[in-house]
Amino acid sequence: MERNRKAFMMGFVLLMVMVSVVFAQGVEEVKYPAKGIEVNVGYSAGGATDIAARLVAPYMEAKLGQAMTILNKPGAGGEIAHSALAKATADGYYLGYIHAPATISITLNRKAAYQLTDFIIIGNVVYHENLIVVPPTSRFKTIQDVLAEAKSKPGKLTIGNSGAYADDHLASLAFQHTVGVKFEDTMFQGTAPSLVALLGNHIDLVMCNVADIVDKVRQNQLVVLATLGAERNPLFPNAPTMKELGYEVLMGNYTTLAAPAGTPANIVKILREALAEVANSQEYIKKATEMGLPIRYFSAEETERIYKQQEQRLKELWIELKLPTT
Amino acid sequence: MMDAFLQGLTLTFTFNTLIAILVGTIGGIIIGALPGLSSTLGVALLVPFTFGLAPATAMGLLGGMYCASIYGGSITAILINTPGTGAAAATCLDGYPMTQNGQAGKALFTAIISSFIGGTFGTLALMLIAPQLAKIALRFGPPETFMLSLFGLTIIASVSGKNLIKGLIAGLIGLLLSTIGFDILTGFPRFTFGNINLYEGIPLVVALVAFFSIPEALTLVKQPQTEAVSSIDMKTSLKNSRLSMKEFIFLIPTFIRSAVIGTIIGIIPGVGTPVACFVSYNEAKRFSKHPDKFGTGVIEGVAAPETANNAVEGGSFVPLLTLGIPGSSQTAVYLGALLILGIRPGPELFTTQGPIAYSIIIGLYIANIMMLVLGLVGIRFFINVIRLPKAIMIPVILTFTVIGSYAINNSIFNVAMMCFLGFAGYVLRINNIPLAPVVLALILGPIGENAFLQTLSITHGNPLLILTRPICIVLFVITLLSLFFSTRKKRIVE
Repeated sequence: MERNRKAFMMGFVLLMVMVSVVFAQGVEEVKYPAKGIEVNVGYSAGGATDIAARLVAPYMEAKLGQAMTILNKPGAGGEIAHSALAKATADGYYLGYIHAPATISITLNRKAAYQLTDFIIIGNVVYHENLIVVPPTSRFKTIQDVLAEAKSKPGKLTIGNSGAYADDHLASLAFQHTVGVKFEDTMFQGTAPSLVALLGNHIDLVMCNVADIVDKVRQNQLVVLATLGAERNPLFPNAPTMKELGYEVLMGNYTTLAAPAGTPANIVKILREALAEVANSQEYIKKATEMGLPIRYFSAEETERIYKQQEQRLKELWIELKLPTT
Repeated sequence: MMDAFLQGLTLTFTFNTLIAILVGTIGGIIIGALPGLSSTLGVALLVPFTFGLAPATAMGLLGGMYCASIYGGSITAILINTPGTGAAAATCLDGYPMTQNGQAGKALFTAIISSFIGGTFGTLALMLIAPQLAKIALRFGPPETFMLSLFGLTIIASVSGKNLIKGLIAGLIGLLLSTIGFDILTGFPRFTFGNINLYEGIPLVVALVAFFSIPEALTLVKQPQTEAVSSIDMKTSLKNSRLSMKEFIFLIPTFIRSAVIGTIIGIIPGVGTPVACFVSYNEAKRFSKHPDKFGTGVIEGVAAPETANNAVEGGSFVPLLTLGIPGSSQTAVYLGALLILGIRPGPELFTTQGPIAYSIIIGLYIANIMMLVLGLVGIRFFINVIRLPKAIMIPVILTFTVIGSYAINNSIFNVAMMCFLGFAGYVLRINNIPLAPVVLALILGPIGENAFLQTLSITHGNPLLILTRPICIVLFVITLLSLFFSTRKKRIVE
C-alpha cells in the first residue's frame, strides 16, 4: 500500500511538472533566506558542473531552510550564465557557479559582458587537475616517451581537447610552452568525443581532467601519463606530476559558487558559513565520493587568491603565446 | 550472463519500476508530440526526480521518456506537419501528405508499428552484441564522420521535392545558417554581431519549429475554413488505419534496412537521430520501385524514418554502457543520472553491475511495449487533432513553439529568433523552396565542419589520406552512387 501510494504520488508530481514546465514562482521577502534561491549553471543538465551543483543543493537547503533551484543556462562556453549572474539583483537569491580558468579566459579571448570583479566568491566546490591520458595499448608507456617523440618529430603528435581555448586546450598550450615541445591540438566539442577518438586510435593523446577519466583508468581503458597538479594524485599513484619532472606547469579546473558583486555582507557571510559547513559534513563527502566527484573545498579567501593568481598567469600566457583576442 | 539477466528481470518487474516506465512513456509521448519540447529536454526534466529512486526504477522512468518521446514526435509531424522532435523531421515528408490524402490513421498506425520494431531491434542489438558494436563506434574517427556527413548532404536531392535547383538553394541556406556561432578551430564567433546568444549557433529545436511549425500554421491561416475534416472522413480514415498483411510484408525490407541504419548511426558518437532518419528515408526511396511517389504520402516514407529513430536509442546506449562515454545529448543526460545514482558505466558495467545494466535494457524493452500499446490505443484520440477548428489549433501550435523555444535554455532570445526564422521560413515556403533541405543542411553542417577540421588536424593537412581508410572509401562510393542516382532519377521524372 505504501509503495502504491508512493508510486502514485510520484506519477502525479511528474505529470504536474510536465504540464507546467516554465511556470515560475514568486514569494515575498522577510529575512534571509526568506524564499528559494536560484543557482545558475552555465552547462546542460547532467554535465559535471550540473552534477556538482545538484550535489551541493540539498545540503545547502537543509542548512538554509529554503529551496535551492538549479537553473541551467548553457551556451557560449558559460558566458551566458556568467553574464546573467553579473547582472542579477545582488540580494542573495540568485547565485551561480563560475570556473577557473574558463570564466577568466573568456574575458581574455573576447569582449565579454562581465568581468571577474562582478562576482563575490562564496567558496570553491570542485577542483581537479589536468592530466594527459593514452589507451593501455599506446606505444607511449611514460611521459618521457611522449616528450622524446615530440622533440624528434615536432607537431606530429596529436592531442585532443574539449574545445578551442577551453580549459583543456589552455592546459595543453601551457604544457607545450613550458616543456618546449610542439603538439598538434585537435579540437573536439567536449571531452567525450575526444576520448572516443583516442580509444579508436585516431589521435595520440588527450588532455582532460580527473573526473573525466577516473573510472576509465580504474577499468583499465586509459592510462594517465602525467598530471599537471601540484602533487601526485592518490587516485593515480604511478603518474608523475610535471612539477616533479622539473616543469612548472600547474593547470586544473575549479568550480566555485559565487554571488553577484554588491550582495550585502551579512548575506555573503551566511552563504559562506553554510557552504563551509556543508563541505565539511561527512554525509556530503561520502555522497560525492560515491559519485566520483573530485570535491575540494577552499574557503572564500583562499579561492579569491587562486582566481587572482590564475588571472595573472592566463594574462601572461595570452601575451607569451600571442593567443587571439577578438 | 544469464544470472545477471535474470536478476535484471527481477529488478525491473517490480511495481514501482513498471509504474515509473509507464509514467515515463506517457510523459514521453506528450513531450515528444509537443512541438519544441525535445526528447533531451524531457529526459533532463526527469533527472531531478530520479534522486532517491532505486536505480532500475530511475532508469525505467528515463528509458520510457526517451523511447516514447522519439515516437511521440511523429504524431504531430503526421497530423499537423510540425515535428515534435528532431527525430520526426523526416517523418513530415510523407506523413503529412498521407494526412492530406485522408490516410492520417494509417500513417499513425505505420508510425507506431515502425517505432516499436525499430526500438525492439535496437534494444536487442544492445543486449546481445553491445561489445562488438562498440568496436564500430571506435572505428568511426573524424574522417569517417566527415564522409558520412558528406553522404548525408546528397540526401538533399531526395528531400527536395520536384525542383532540384530550389532544393539545392534550400540546402545552401541551411549550410550558411549552420556557420553561425563559434568557429571550432579558433573559438572566433562568426556572424553573431557580438550577440552572445548566437555564439552556439541556431538550436535545432528553434530551426524545427521555425521551418516546419510556423510556415504550416501561417499557411493554414490563409486557407478557407471550409476544409475542416468531416466526421465521415474521420470514420473512414480510422477504419482504414490498420496496415493490411500485404502492406506489412511489403514494409519488411524497409523495417530491416532502417533498423540497421538507425542502430549503426546511433552507435556513432555525435551524429544523432535526425541524420539516421534522413539517411533511412533516402535509402527507402532509393530501393523503392516508385521513388517519384515519395513525398506524396507513401507508407515507406513514414516507416523508414520512424523505424530508424527508435533504433537509434539502442545504438546510442552502446558507447555509454560499454565505454562509459555518451554518444548523444540524451545519453549525456543519462550519464549524469547514472553518476548521481552511484553507477559508473564502462567496460566493467556488465560484469560488476550486470543486473543493473540488464535492468536498463529490459526497461527500454518494456517501454517499447508500453509505447506500442499506448500508441495503438491513442490513434483514435490523436486523430481528433485534425478535427480541431483552425481558430483553436493555430494558436495552440504557436503557443507551443514559443514555450519550446524558451525552454531550450530559458532564454527569450531564442523565442525572438524562432519568430524571425519562422517568418523567413514562410517566405521560403510561399516561393516553393522546400524546407526539409534547410533543416537537413543545418544539422549536417556543424557535424561535417567539425569532422573536417579534425581530419585536417590528424592528417596534418592532407585530407587525401582519408582515402586510405576502408570505411571512408565505402562511404565515398556510396556518396557518388547517391549523387548519380538522384540526378538520373530526376531526369527521368522531368
